[in-house]
Amino acid sequence: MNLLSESVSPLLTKDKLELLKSHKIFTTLDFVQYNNEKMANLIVQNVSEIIKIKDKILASNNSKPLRGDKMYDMLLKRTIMIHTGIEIVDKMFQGGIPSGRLVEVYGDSGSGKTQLALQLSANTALKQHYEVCYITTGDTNPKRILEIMQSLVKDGDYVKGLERITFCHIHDVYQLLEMLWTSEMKRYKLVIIDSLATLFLPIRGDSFNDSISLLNKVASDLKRQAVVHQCVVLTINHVSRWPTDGTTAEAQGATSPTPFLGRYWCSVPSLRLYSKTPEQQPIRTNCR
Amino acid sequence: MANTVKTESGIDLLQRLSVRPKLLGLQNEVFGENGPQPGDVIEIAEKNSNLKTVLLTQWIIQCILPSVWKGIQIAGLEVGVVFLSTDHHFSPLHLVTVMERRLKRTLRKYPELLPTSGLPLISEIVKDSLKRLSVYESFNKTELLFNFCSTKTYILSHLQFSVVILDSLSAFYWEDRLSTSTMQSLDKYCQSLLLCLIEKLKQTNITIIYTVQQFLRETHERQNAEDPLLIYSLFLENQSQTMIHVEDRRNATKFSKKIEILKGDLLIN
Repeated sequence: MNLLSESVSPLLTKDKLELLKSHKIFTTLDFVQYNNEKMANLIVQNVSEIIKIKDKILASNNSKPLRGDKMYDMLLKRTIMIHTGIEIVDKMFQGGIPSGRLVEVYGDSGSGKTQLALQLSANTALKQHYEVCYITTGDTNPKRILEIMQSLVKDGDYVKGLERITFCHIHDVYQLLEMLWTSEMKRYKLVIIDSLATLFLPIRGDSFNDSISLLNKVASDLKRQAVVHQCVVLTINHVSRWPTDGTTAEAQGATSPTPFLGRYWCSVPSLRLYSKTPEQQPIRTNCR
Repeated sequence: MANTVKTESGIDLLQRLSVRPKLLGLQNEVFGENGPQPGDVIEIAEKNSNLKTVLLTQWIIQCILPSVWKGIQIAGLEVGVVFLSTDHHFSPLHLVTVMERRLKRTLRKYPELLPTSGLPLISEIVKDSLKRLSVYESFNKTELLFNFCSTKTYILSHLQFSVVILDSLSAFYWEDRLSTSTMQSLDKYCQSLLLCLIEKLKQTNITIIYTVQQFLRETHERQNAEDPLLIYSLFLENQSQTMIHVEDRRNATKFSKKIEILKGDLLIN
């Protein structure tokens, strides 16, 4: 959305722009939403000319429909499967995680979320030769990735594999949002955020509504990354324990682990993995 | 004696005289035998978005499949669908998988065709059906508003579209709340955004289906709200049992039906 100016169309001279401003039409969005006949009467132009300008604005904003069959062909070509390197998990996903999705891994601390993420990075970079962006809020040990790579492939080109992984340390949500809008992000096929919950810890205490707003913005931008650049975005989340609905304060036994980022976030990822420490069932999935 | 002359623009004339294909037989259990009428506005609300995209995928398949293909009864509605995606849970790959599954089931009734021409026939039908679906992807409210304008001109020039589906209306509510100075409630936000869409599509007399995620919205608030535009209000429940609650405002009736999930398809009894 831009401000209306002469660059939009040579027909929009200064005095016409002033006239439009007096009717509260400032941006290209306002222009496109205004009725054709009224606009024609207002700035003394043919309706066909108005329609041409509107089409031009819509085209420049990339606002066009994608027909189903063309979209399907494009997705068949561009969709890639990210393999985890763990046979059982890959079997569960019938080959791997398809791109264009936002995936979440949540679990207690020490249950293996970061290990899973590192495993995915190592496998993707080394065996599948895709570029990986590992965004971390804490200290991630690159040596661990090398160890995983060595266990995956005996004499692989580890240097090349490690070169494909980019580590980024960020300290707050705004840095994440800024990063997602840079043009570099388009070359990554796997983006990992370890962990999203940590980024929201300082904000959660504040106004509840503000944190959801920010979460919504992050969700939209992560989805844009996943869909437009056809990559897999993996977010790591912690767990908070809430009593299940209907239990009284005394019955403390039954608590069901829920993802930390709240009820709103529950509906955002397309695929959710719950990891537990080895005493119980290791991985449970929730897919939509 | 005053002679009043009524005038209308070429577009209005075209819209008045043209007829869009009807949605007869779309989910009879909910909409009745005649299906939703042209110009109807249908709302699907849900607490946690599990089922609405599955339901929409089923409806889209029902709409875009042909009714007959090379002598075989497919029983689709053969109408065009425009899909506005905001939360991107809709996946064309998944749509095709479900479509193929349904076509395989239909073709089993024609054993003379299988196994020789079964699969190529299915992909032919899928390719033909997908031409009737158009998708707009939006990642924020501005893009969505531009897409509304684009939808209007697109529908005006293509008469085979009978339904516009918006999934979902409330996707950008929280982030927009952050940027605007006025605090709007979810209901007001959805109403104003929906009005934008309806104003644009008023001339086209097209059926509009939209979904809302009832994350924080109170159910008692909802019932008091004045909604003259809404004809059908559906609520999907998946807590203790899977049910769909339907409110038909045209006939002033309310009823609930059970939903069975069989092999990934939602069956409404």
